[in-house]
Amino acid sequence: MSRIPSTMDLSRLDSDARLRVLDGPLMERTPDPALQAVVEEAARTTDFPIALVSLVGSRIQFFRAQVGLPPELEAARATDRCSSFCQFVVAGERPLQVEDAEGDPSLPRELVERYGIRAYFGFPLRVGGQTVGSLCVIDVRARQLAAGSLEALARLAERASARLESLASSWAFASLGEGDRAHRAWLELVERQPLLSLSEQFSRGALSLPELQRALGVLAHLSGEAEK
Amino acid sequence: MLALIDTLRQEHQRLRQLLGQCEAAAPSQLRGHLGPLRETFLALKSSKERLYGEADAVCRADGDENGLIVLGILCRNTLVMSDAILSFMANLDGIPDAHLQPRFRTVAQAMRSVLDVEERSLFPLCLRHTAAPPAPADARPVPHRSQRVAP
Repeated sequence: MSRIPSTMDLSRLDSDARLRVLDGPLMERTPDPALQAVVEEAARTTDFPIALVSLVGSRIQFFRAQVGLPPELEAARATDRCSSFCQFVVAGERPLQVEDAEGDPSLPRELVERYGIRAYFGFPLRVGGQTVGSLCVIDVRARQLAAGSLEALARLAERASARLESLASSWAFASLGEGDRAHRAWLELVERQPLLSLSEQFSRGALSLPELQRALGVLAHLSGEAEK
Repeated sequence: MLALIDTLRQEHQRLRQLLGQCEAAAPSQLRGHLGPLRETFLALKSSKERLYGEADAVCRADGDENGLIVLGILCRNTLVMSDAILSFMANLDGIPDAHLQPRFRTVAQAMRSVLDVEERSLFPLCLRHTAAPPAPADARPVPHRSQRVAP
């Protein structure tokens, strides 16, 4: 089992160079069939109920593709970054294996307590030389993964990275020289979108009030920060 | 409160028209259309803050605790998003024309979602606490999926 070293430097999550990559089609909510195929294969290969392509942003982790999430997280497509396990894959720039989160005090508690998350296996996703997220599988039972499954996940992460790279190149973020302020304002807007998506799904009757409140519990930081 | 909701519905219509004009504009002309859109959205936000205040007061007066919870969540989420939209629109200077149009699509979608949430949930919630005639069918809150009867 991996423990998060207390010395892990999380400041690299906020590096301008890394956040600049999170732009254009990478942060769109439109489904991407290629990334969807990756998460479906990841779940099937490992027999885990949940698989995600999670992009770790400035405030949230954004689920660019997912399978197996409960309805409210499917609607939000995000949790607070500080609640995520994927932040450690990005900050550490290496895979993270958690066989049982229950007894691991080095991990954030929100997802463990609200959603009963126990097992997590995540592999880095890289775009433009930056680690932007994690391909991960998640279960509510304590689990182990055989070496063959871990290798398969590593290969799928490479496939997801290649697809993300292709999406990013269509945007040509580096060549157009957009100002930092403009990019940050746009990222802030995109990262608050989960709050609105939840409200929208609640308004349409697709989420109950308890489901809405549960999802807001893992977006409390975003919600509170935005309110200030 | 009824008059305020009527005014807001008209302003929503106006905003949707402006959004349509922005979406139809050529990339080189889009920037010029965004000024009026921002002004209208800003004025609308101010009217909504007034409505939320009034709605909060009537929910409290009627002892509608569930309504207060819903009102609190939806108001916070829509206002937070509105602030982000306005902040984006105040920082257009560094955005090349080639980026502006795709970025604007995200903004337009967010604006429409804000209007949608308010019309589907907040206005009906306010109307429940007035002696108003029933809201039009498209403004009534949709029941949760577990309460729907299969056709």
